Amino acid sequence: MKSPKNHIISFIGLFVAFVSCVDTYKIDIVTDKGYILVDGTITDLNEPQFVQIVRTPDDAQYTSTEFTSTIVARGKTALPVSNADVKLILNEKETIQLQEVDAGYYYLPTTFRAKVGDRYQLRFRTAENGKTYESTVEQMVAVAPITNIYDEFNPIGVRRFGSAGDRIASSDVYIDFTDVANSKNFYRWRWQLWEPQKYCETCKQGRYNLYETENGETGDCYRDLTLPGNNEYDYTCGSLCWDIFYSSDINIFSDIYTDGQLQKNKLAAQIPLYQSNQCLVSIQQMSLTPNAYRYFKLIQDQSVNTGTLADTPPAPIKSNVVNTKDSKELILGYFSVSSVSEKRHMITRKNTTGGRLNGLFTSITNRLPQPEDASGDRGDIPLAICKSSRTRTPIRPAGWEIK
Amino acid sequence: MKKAIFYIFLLLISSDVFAQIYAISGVVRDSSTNTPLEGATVIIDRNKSLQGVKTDAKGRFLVRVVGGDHIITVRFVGYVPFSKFIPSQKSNVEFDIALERVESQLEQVVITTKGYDQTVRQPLLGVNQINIKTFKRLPAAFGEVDLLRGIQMLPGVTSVGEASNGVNIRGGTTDQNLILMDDTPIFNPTHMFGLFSVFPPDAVSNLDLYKGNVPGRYGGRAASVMDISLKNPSLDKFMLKGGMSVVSNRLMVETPIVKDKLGVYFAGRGAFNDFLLPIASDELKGIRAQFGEGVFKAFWRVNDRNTITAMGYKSYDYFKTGLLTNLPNVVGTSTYFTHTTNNASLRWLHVINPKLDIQTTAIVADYTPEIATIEKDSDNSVELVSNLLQKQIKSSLNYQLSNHKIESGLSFIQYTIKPGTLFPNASPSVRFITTPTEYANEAAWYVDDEWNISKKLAVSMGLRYSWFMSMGPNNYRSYEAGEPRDDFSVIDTIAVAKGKIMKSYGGFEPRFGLRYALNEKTSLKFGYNLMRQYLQIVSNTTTPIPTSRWKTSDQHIKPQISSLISAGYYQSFKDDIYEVSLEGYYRFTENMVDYKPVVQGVSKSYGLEVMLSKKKGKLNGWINYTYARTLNRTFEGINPIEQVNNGNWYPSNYDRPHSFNSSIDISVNKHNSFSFTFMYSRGRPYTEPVGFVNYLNNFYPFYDERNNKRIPDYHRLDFSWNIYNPSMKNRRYKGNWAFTVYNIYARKNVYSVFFRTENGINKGYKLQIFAAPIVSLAYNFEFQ
Repeated sequence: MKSPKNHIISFIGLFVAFVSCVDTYKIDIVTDKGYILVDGTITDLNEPQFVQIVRTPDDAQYTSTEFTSTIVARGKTALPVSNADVKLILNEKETIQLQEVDAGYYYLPTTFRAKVGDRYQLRFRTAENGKTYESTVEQMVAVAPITNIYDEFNPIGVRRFGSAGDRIASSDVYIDFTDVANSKNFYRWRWQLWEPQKYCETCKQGRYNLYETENGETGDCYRDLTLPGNNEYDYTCGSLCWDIFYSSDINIFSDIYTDGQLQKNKLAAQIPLYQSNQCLVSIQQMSLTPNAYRYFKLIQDQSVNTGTLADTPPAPIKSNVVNTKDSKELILGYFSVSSVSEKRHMITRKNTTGGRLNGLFTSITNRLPQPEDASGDRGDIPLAICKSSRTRTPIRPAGWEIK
Repeated sequence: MKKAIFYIFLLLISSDVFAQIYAISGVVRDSSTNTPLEGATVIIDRNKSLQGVKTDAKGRFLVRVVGGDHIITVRFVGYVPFSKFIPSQKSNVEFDIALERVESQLEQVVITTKGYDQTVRQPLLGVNQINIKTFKRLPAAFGEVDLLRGIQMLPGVTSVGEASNGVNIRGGTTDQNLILMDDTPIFNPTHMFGLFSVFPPDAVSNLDLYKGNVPGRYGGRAASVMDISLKNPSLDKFMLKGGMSVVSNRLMVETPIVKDKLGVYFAGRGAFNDFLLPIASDELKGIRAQFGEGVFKAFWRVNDRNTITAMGYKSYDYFKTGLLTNLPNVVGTSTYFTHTTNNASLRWLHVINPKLDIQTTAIVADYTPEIATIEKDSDNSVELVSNLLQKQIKSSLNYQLSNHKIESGLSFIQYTIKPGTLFPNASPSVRFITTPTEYANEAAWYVDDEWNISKKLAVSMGLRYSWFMSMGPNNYRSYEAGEPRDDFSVIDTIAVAKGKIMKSYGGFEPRFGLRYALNEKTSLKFGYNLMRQYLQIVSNTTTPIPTSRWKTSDQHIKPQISSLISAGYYQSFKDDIYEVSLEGYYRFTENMVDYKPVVQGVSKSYGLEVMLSKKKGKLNGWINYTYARTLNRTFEGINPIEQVNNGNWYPSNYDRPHSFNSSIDISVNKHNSFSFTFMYSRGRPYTEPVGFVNYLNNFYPFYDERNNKRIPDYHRLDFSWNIYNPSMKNRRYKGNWAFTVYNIYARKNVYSVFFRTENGINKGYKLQIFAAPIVSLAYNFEFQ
């Protein structure tokens, strides 16, 4: 029970806080047409370069969930646009064909290397209706290098990915760089994170077994109906294994106020304290064209910087990809090219508190690992294979160095 | 021969004069204090003429009349009107008239200041003249008397919500209202991003709101005029006034310097209680909020024919919150906002003869908003400061005849806009950057004539010619074709020399009002208006914020031109106790400004307003209903993808089709009164996404049609209990209490609906500004 005096004071406090409150607002949206989404950023990094093309369903439905009000799509949010004829046009002359590797993912040849100063244009024709789409010509602009990188512990941290409310402490990664003088520069930052993972497989109502294939040994879960329906067994990795995380926020900057100056303490990443183990972060400082900057800025203003007293009114954002026959068709996404200055940094986490050693599994699944106990007919519990994917690798990442 | 005729003519006139014209003069005083009342209206034979004279600072008046029987009527706000029959006289007569205060009679005056039946008789439509006393009785949030909230109880005046930085009048944007305080323009009418208005409540005398017919003397904005007059300092009486509420403290000191010659006052309000916030809650630690304003006014009666009035005004805000976006493209940790207004005016009134006077005013208005970011590891703030400076000189000649009231004048305005200067201060990372200053001139000539053609017919005719010049020195920017016009797409700047005209616009602005009286109590009115606006807010937000960019018209932004036609029916009945009015309007605006980024187009608004008021008695007040729409359309010829809603009509951000307001005031006795206000309006539009996609490792909404949905309807009931002079003794010191409950039934009115992507998920939210009842107690005192 507060004293009356406290009531008065909190009342004054309420005034400044506008006596405001934010509640969730439930929606139910049914669409009547689909939209094409182009998600592609070509960089000069030595890694596979690809463009993803998908389409939202014609009859998509989006509703707020009952308890957390998170908006979810009934069914798939997007379907791959497969078998399209996708080309990259280099300097308005040379045409490079892209190959569909996974459904909707079109890869450039592994020999391809983008270069600063070259101009690129994306062009594709869909298989289902033969419509042709074309991006504007995007020139790869040079980017200033990152000169310094450090991390700082932030106990307040960030919201957990995919979660509505709870926060997790973070290691905030700051960088310094010197902007290139006498030119308009636009920046975007993204990061990748490698966290050591101890558990490589989880079997629901099943057990893990190894077997031989043409490509060597692999493993899988095998259903075991003698186990309870909600039973989960977790299997330790048989080798070193890293889970890979990607940044999800839009972090962009223009040098309109800072041309040619040294920029210090730019927050480039907030790495959640998944565990107390050391981890590796790659900070990628990317160049943008003015239009790409405007595009990302509008997405940020309309979708992230909202809920202020005066929001930017939402509107369709003009993509740089257009239907060559119908300029009114609303296309989502942007085809951009960026030169990248990458800096890899080991976060020792010696400055953190509250992290758990080898706690990544628990941090993500929100439960303790449940290893299968050895029993009569299973004396040896197999160790799980660390399967390479977009989010996991058994290969020691470059720059990994325990300090 | 000609000479002879002339002499005969002169003889005829003069004989007429000597035989029949005599003067009625006198002094009007307060019955209890005996102080002279300035500005009381004296009308002779009000059945025949609308024209009256005003009493001067000593309460004196003089009217010349033609022989015969007359009725003299004297009215003054807050006083019981006086009427007397004067039988035919041979020589001048003098009266000493003592007006009794309304309070002493337990009667109250609402809305009009010029007489109860003004609405019916005036040849202007859509004009509300509101006395500050009316506002003081309305229940106010946090006990702060608020003009902008008060006028939203009138038909045709709405806002986007509690935190809107201004009001929307008959479909106009907030920057289309000309807000004048003692002739100086107010560019930002609110404190704390819309929570309070910036007008010092103790110093304000009354507000004339022109939302329909606008006389030719006003110009420069497309929708409406809010003309706020401050009191004149008393020349013979010392007075101290003040008050306290949970938010602010107020003080006003008024004193004559030379009795009957020179008087001054200072009135100020300050809200600096935010140091208590961290004590209240840890969550409020990061929030700072301070504001204040002060006004100084001096009145000098040089002699019987000349008076000089000087006014100075300052308003200041400091605000730090997470509810607004940061200064982009500067690396920093926290952001704060400030804005400062410095206004001043100097007015010289010269009476040439009782029918003719000339008034000349010099005006300066200076508005400086700032947004700043504090850098990490240092206390250095990087400040982005912009500034709008308006200098104006205007002069008008007023000529009064028995059935004509003519005013003609000239006005010259110079605008200097500094769109933004970035001060790095101690920052090594940021450069000093300044955007070229904009210079512009606006000149105008106007004439107004209010003409009573007959007892039944009266017209008001106005004509204004305005000429706008965007001036050098400036750098005329050219932009990359097909790209949005922003700082990033500038390809060339061409220097234009000082004093050279870069671009000019101009034209006539006709204003016309007509009143036809069907009978003593009923009239019909018709009005037409054209107004041109050369200075506007170019904003990328749904509602402008204090730091929004003011921009003069140039090659790229064309002036807004708005035409309004309106018609109305007015009737008063039961001895003018009740009045009913019905007004309809249609407005069309060319070159309206919207954001996507900046686009121009057209806007149309139309509406019907019905109002019933009870103007006298222990119970008085009004109810009104408005049907109004505001629709916008972007220009054809814009790149299809940059048009809003494919170039179709779409509702504006503040389109509220139905609204209903009611205000009731009950005087229980000399010491107690109760007020209730109720507001309802249909929810304003917002934009709902058409879908969501996984993009860049996140889940983003995407939009197509703008303003395709509406937020829930708005309604609210407020209550106030005013206790006057609880000691019940007639002392020099009087104290009043005002107990207010704002939003009595705790309606969680939605201010905005928005969607936010965060950590891979998206949710819809509603922001509610006043989600709880706000109980407050304010104390006000007066010493005289």
